[in-house]
Amino acid sequence: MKNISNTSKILIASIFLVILVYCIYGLLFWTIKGENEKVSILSNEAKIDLQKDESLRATKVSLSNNKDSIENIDSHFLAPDGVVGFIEGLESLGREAGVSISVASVTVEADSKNKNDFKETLRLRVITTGSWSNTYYFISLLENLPLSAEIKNATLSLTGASDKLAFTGASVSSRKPAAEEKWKGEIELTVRKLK
Amino acid sequence: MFNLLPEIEKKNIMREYILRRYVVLALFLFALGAIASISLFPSYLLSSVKVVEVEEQISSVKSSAIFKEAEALASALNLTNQKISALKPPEKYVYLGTLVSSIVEKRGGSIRLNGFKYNRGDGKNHGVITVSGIARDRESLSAFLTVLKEEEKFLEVNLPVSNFAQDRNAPFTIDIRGAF
Repeated sequence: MKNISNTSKILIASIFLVILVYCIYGLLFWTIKGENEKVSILSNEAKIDLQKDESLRATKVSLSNNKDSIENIDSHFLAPDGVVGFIEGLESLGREAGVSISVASVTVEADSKNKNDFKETLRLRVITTGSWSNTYYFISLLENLPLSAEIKNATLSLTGASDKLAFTGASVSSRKPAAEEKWKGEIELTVRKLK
Repeated sequence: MFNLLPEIEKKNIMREYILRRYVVLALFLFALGAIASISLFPSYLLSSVKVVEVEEQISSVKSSAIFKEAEALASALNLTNQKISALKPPEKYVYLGTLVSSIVEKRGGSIRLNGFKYNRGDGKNHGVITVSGIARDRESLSAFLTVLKEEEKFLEVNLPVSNFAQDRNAPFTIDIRGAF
């Protein structure tokens, strides 16, 4: 009986050892699995970081190589302190085009939706008086300014036509405008200005 | 010999025999488990080292000078893109000068113009240009209207019928809408 009892004890101890060793095995297995998963995730992260590093370096080189072009973009916007110079430029353009010009209003509007916007809008209302060809030439000059500018509204009206453009006689003859005849222009111009 | 033993002894010996077989099996399984565990240990060490190595690699990349400049570079790029977008003219942008000249060219000798009123479209609404003048007669006005309607830039050309009331020296006002 004593031998049988000892064998049982040995069996119980063996079973305990088996359970213990397989617990250790399982623990090792799950730890390695977890570590491998972590390595995989970290490797992907490292790969992404390396790619980001390369793209950042390329971006820096590109920004440096295109510095002049980027500065050139700025020249298409009115400088923050360039309003006075711009108005004087407009008056000079008017003289060049042969129209008399007066600036009726000047306002600066910031984009209310985007407070961090780099730009704001300079809005000018310009009144011109001159012949049709000079007024047309002035409008063409305004539209071809090397700035981000556009004409939003404009009213061009003929003043001083004593004959009210009436056709006289049966034939279509070309009409000669009278000396006092002028075209009055009211032009609303917007220009994008750097803040 | 075994057969000479009493029945109870026989059962005891058989039970002992079975127990010993289980002990051998258990020891075999233990040895198997121990070998498996020992063989996993190098892999465990390798994985741990690999984790540390990759973590160091990441931290060295993230602490590089270029990573610290990332935000500044992104904001410089973003600003440049915004500027380029701001400079891009809207689609189908038409200059006022082009618009006016395309109307003036079509008028012929029987139409004299005395006013233009222009409002640029804002993306949601079409642009409008209102042209006013004097037509020599109804036919001239009608012909002018037809020619204007043929222009691709003009989506809608409206002339109030009342403008045809006067046959000679008829004042008119034409509303033109378009993607400008």
